[in-house]
Amino acid sequence: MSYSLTYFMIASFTIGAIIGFIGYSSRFCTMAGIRNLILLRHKEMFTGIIGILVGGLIGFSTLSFINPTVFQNFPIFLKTKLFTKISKILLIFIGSLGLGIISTYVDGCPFRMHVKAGSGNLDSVIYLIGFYIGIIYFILFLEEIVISIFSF
Amino acid sequence: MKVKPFYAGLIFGLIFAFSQAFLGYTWKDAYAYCTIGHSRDLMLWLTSVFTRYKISEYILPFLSTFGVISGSFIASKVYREFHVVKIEKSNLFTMFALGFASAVFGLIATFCPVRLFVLLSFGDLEVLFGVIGYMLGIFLAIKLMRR
Repeated sequence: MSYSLTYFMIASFTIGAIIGFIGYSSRFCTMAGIRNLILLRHKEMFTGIIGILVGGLIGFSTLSFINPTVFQNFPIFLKTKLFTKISKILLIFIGSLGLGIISTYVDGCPFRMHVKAGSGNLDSVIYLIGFYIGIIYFILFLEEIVISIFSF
Repeated sequence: MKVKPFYAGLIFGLIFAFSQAFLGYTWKDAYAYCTIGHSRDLMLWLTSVFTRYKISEYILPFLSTFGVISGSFIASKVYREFHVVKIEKSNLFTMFALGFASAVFGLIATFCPVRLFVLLSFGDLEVLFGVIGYMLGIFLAIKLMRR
């Protein structure tokens, strides 16, 4: 690896700060976009998701057009075999189903909860404490159980 | 809203693509920002510092989630909208438990909802099951909450 630890810390912090600033100014939330579309038929928040898809597609395809070696497997569906592991698809489905349910109950996707915590909402600060403790708990105790169950 | 959500999403997508290319996040696809992945890497790194937990060389102390918190703090100060919303005491344990559960579900899926859509724009079609699951989850929760 050619970069140092401090470089990655500063780089990721800067990117996060920019995203957080824009995220607060636009009230961007993936959950609210889909929820407003289903519940109220409001399309404005949902355009944020379309924006992320369009922006990512433009950015990734332009950069890989300029220099094909930047992203080793840019269109993943052309470079690698997909849909071979059923267990991976099942894990993706279960995980995102749970994320959708919980995000609707707490009124914000994990990204939005970080933004809310920054703007002074103490409820989401409690959520974040649970979030980080949950991550540590999963790493130490649950990861091996999940892997052993879904090892087919 | 000072910025329209569509433009915010567009800027997000472009930032993710360009930072992925220029900052050297090469070992994982579409990994410029992930609420769950980056905080997991940070926590793994911290546990490896304090205990003898073994990690691979690609686990780095990403501070992007703390960047998001401080960025939104700066934004709310700039727009003069910062105010402390106090906790209802009945909410305290539920919020903690829901945060815990969302971390577990996110780590099972290995992405946060933002990275879900970035991965979709990166061309990963397996993630379509994730999009279906996410929408289904939101739909189910709306149905349950309306009762």
